[in-house]
Formats: sequence, structure tokens, C-alpha cells
Amino acid sequence: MVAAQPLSDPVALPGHVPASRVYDFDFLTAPELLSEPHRNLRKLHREAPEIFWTPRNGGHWIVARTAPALEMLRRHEEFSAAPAFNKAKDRWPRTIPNQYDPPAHADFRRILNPWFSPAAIMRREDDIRALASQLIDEVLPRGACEFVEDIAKRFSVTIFMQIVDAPPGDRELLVELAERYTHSSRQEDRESGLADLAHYIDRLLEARRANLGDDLVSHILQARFQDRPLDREELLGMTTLVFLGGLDTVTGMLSFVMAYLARHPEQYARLTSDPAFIASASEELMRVHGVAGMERGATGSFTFRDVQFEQGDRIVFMPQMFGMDDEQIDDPERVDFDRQISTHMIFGAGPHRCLGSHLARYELRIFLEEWVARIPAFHAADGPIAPTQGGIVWTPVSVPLAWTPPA
Amino acid sequence: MKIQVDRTICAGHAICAMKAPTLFELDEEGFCISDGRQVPPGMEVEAENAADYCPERAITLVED
Repeated sequence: MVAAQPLSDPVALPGHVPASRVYDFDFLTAPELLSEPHRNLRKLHREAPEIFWTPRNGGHWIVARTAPALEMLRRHEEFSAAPAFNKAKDRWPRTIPNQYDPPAHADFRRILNPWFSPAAIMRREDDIRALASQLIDEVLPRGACEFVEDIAKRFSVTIFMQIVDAPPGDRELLVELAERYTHSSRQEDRESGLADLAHYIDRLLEARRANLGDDLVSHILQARFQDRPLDREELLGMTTLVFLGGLDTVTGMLSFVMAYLARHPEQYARLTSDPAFIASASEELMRVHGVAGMERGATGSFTFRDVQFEQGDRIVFMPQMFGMDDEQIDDPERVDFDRQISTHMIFGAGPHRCLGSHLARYELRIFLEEWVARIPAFHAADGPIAPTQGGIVWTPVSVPLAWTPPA
Repeated sequence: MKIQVDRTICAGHAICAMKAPTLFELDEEGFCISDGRQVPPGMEVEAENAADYCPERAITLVED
């Protein structure tokens, strides 16, 4: 079991924040994150204002409701992605395009979009399917696996490493660096994870420059931004962001989904009885299993939805909870594959919508199709509920699964 | 019935093309390019579901 970490020390209430907007919540180390966080943190919707201020982690706003978030994530003139307006984002390297606002953001993003469009991802379907098959076939005769280590951390990371053509032997190193960044509650640990990852990528870029191929890193090296090549810091910032996105988000989402299906055999039976159903069921499964959040900073002094913001106010969004928003969807905890609409924003919204969302979506769908094709039923092997870990990306720590091995 | 897509807020979620591939088409970056397209008779419910599914609420359907 994961031990609860101490909450950060609270800071004093700033003058522009009324007591009615305060709700004490540590988004990195709250005890609710340790088990079934999506369900347990519905208390934010029940107890806290739609935009609330917490005194933890230096003091900042949190948005866990969909409607204000959708609006704020579009209003970049007020809610900027730039580190200049949010000290928590001020670290090296400045990642691209997520730490830029329009219009520069769009010009950076255009470099990456064609590599992550639905059509581009579908062209990788055979590779994704082959890897899923291989990983499942390895554990199949054992009748058991620890899903996070045996499969999740290998599946999406290996696909990503194929896209960037990173040396396969570096997988564990890269996962450690990314996890130090995404799962640490201490700011200095996160910064060291990010910096060490950037140093690795800097060396990769240098080596690749001398040996260009048809991989994404080679594409970034040759890309043009507003009719000039990217400079060294930009190359590093863009490649680092792509690595961060690719190294552990799908690991968490896929592990949550498998932990859920292990505890709900009746839901899994629906998938095995009609595999064509997996595509739409995946949306409903993703709705309740988002893993990553994002931040913005207030650009000035203004009022939005009755909240007074001051320049430099830190704003943390929790898209993990948007799919649980009862103002958007009836009975959000009920996972119902027959819903006509399972709209969710686990990939964020607005111009910064997760670049890798289509890759994540296809990985989940293809993986489930291959799992269903081989394993008619499975269950949680050790205790009912997967312990999870907080940080800026949520993830189950371990998901032990068991099934009857094929004869 | 006609499809209207607000290209200024379409963020490339591509749910429309997944839910109703015959009605919604994407450009090579993954953004919807079906603004102005006519919904063939009998496809109205499919069009409405796809529009309701859009996380950005970028799609509206207008009666002719």
C-alpha cells in the first residue's frame, strides 16, 4: 500500500480571495488520491465552489468543474499558458507548445499535429496491435500478471519510443525520469526529473542531427517555425514535451481501466460478447479514468464568473474530474456503455487539447480488442482496489490480475 | 439540415468523425472540415449525436 504523504503547509489567504471561495485541498498529496481518486474526489463537486482557492502548495485556484474550465481554457488573454503568469511553471526547459499562448502556440503545434492526427495514428495500427498481442501472449500462459509493470509501462512507452526512434534499451531510464517529474509531490524532485530528461533529450537531438531518419525527432529537427528553423532551446522544449506526454499518461489510464474491468466482470462480459462494442465503450471508460491535469496563470486583475483574479494567480485544472461532473452527465459514477453520449474532457479542451489524445484512444481500444480476443474473464488477484499515486499524473501503483490460463 | 462547424473553437478532438464518419471529415491535422455540409435525409439523429458529443460544442445543426 502506498503511504499517505504529508500535505504541504498552508499559506495565508491573499487579500483578493474571500473566505467563501476557500476549500482546503492538496491536489498532489490528498489522501483521496490513494484509492479510487475519481470517485473519492467527487467531494470537490459536492463541497467546494466551482472555482475554489486552496492554501496548499503555495496557494492557488482549482477548477474541477467542466463548464468554467471549458471557458477558461479558451480565454488565453486572461488565463495564459506562459510561465510568466504562473511561477510553478517557471522551470527548465520551457516546454513547447503547451507553455505558449496563441498565436505562437498554433505555429508550434502545427509542426506536431500531422504526426498525431487520427489518420496518422491509424497508420500505426498494425504496430500497436502487434505489440499488444506480444505483451499479452507473454503473460497469457501464467494466468496472472502485475498489469502496471508487466504490460502498461511497456506498451505505450514502447510505441512512443518507436515514434521517436529512441534506443529500446533506454526504456526504463526514460520511464524513471518521466515518473520523477509526474508523480513527485516535491517541486525540487519534479524539477530534477524534468532537467535530467531534458539532458537526455539534448544528447539524443545532437546524435540524431547527424543521422536523420523518418522519426518524429528527425521531423522536429527539420521543422520550421514561422519560416525559420527551431533554435536549440525550442528543439529541446518541444521534444521534451512530446516525451513527457508519451512516457506515462497512457500507462496510468490503461491501468485504471483494467483495474476497473477486473472489479466489474459483468461490464467486461459485455466487451467479450461484442468486441465491435469496444470503440464506444472505450469513451465511457476514459470518461471516468482521466489521469492528467494542466495549469494556467492569470494575466492581470479581472473578474470571471464572480471570482476576482490577480496577475500571477496560479490556476490548476483537474480534467480527471470533468467526466465526473454531475452538471454535465447524469449519475456520473455509473459506467454505462449504453449512454448515447459519454462526452468528457480528460484530454483538456481549447487550443491545448492533448496532442496525443488520438494515440491514447487507439491504444486503449486496440489493447482491449487484443485482450478480449485472448482472455474470456479475469479478476483482481490481490485485494479489491488498486492503490494509486498522486502527483500531476494519477496512476495505479500496481494492478495484479488473474485468469484461467488457456489449456 | 445543414452542419455548421465553428472552426475557431474546433480543437481537433475528432469525436465527430469517429461517431459519424460519413458526415464529418477531418483535415490532415485532425480538424473538422465539414462546415456547410448537408445532412442526408435519415442521418439527422446520427448528426445530432455527434454534435452533442463534441467536447467544445463547436458543431451546430441548422434546419434548412
